Amino acid sequence: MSDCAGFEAVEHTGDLAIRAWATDMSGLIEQAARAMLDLMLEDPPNVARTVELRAEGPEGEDLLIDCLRSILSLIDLEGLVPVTVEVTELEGEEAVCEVGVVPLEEARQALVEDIKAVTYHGLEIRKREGNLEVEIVFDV
Amino acid sequence: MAKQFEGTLEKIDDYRWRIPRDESYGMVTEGIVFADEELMKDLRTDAALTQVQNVACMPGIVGPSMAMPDCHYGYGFPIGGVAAFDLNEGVISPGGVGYDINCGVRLLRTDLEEQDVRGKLQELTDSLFREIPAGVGEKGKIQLDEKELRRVLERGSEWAVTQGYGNENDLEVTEDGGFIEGADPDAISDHARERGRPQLGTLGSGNHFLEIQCVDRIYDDEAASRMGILDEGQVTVMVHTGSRGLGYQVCDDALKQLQRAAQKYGIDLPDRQLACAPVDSPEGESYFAGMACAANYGWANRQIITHWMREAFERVLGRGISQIGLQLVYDVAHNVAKFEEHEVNGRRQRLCVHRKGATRCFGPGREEVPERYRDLGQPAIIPGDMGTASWLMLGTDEAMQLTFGSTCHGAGRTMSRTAAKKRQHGREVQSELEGRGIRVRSAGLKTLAEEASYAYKDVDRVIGVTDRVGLSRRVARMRPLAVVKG
Repeated sequence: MSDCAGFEAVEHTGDLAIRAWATDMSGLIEQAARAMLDLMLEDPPNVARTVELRAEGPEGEDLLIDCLRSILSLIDLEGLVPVTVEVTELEGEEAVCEVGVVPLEEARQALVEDIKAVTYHGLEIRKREGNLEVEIVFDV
Repeated sequence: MAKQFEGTLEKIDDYRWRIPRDESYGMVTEGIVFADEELMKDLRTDAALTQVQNVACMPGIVGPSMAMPDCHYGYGFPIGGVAAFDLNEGVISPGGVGYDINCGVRLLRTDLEEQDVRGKLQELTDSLFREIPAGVGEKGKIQLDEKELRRVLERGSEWAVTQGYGNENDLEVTEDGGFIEGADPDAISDHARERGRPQLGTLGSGNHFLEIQCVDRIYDDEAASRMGILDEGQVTVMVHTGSRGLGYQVCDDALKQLQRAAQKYGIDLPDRQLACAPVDSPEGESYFAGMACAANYGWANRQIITHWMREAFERVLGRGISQIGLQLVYDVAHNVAKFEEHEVNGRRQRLCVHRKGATRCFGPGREEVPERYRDLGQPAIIPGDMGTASWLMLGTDEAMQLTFGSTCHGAGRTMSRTAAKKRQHGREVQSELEGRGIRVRSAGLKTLAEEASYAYKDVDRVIGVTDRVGLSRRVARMRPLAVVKG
């Protein structure tokens, strides 16, 4: 992974938090999603198939949060565990993500952390050294 | 994320601290934190105090923004946060309730002694683990069609009891009788329904648990006896869970809607997770109607789990329930907003009280307290960590004056989940607990590492502060014998 894009876990007393960075908004959504999945999964099985998700929201933080919530909701609503995420389209207030998934029954052992929600707490996309950067707190 | 606290903190006495009103920060009232020096050390190192300060900026807040002795950093409100709002000028906020709406705890007493279950703990935990689905994405055994789901959302525990999951006594000693009036199933989304339909009667994961305990020490013989707690060594059982995916979705949906509402009503907030709307606005009313649905679902969930737990005890011990006991002592919600009447500056006033990681603990005489306990005050159930102890407390008159009748909800975390996992593997945590005679059954070892005792504050210290400042008083301490974790 290049220094221009990446993620890391951030300490949070009660819940879980990450910092993600990338050169553009598509990259930032991908890095934040990967950070979320990295917290949730340990040795996930290979992707069984892909699903397309559309997220909508005012540009910036809202769109980012909506993408992550849509990805997360696959577990409860579709019985699918997201494993990989790629942003295939991003225009204005809409993003399309291609999400590699595994049926819940096949990924139960790999699902080690139950992230319940993506919060708005302290949410702000900042510009830092030419990159976009964001910190996100997840409810567990 | 919120910044570490940079404001002014004044010590009022040994157990109370004030964050003075700072208009330049946007505060409309002061903050009050209940903690001793030791508990305050933890609070100074993260952003919990900043969150107390942020809540003090919300419009229409009545009295101070408060933090209970188990307070720690959360999102929006701190965990352990209490705030009351005027019904005309104030707001209602999902950030003051949390995602797991009506996450709560219930305590059951038995006619068993420790020696009656000691040799059966493995069988009991295995049976509980089998009968009560636990862990990420687990589905329950109950099939709900739309009509039945609506009844759950409207009537909570009462629905469960009419379906045979429990009895009238259970309803009598559940906060609000197991349902909040004003729930409107049309106020929640299809996604919330879809998430909720298969999960009724499931424990979930994280800090949710079933625990077999025994009474370690009784502090008030008369009050304990009135609640069926008779002897040290007596077995009790505790259930900690909430409204599952349905509650999370109701909160998620509301936060999205209320971001717009905050703009519409010109409410300037220091944290977007505090998104809110005037209590009497269409948006505020809609959130309350949906939140009440989730709260009712949470009570039904704990009620159904209780029923299956009773069946598991009967099966494993080979005795009828009349010989086992397993009567409900009380059930409390610790993530909820409610309309309550309180005395403010010598006048009775109806308020919208938010408790996020805080427990209602009304003092003696309040009509909301079940008749059998009314002269004692409301029982409050405070779970600790899985290796230490939990507490049965009683509401006080002081709490009515200091905190709108609120107390702590647990031990409160002191270490991040990431740090806890680095310190010990879940298998080691399990092995240590079992070495101390505490049987553990868990859906995941990572959860055990995250929930280890060292990740929490000392619950006895938290309870000591709570008792001495008068937020609730000690009745009995229970220690764990066996734990089932999601």
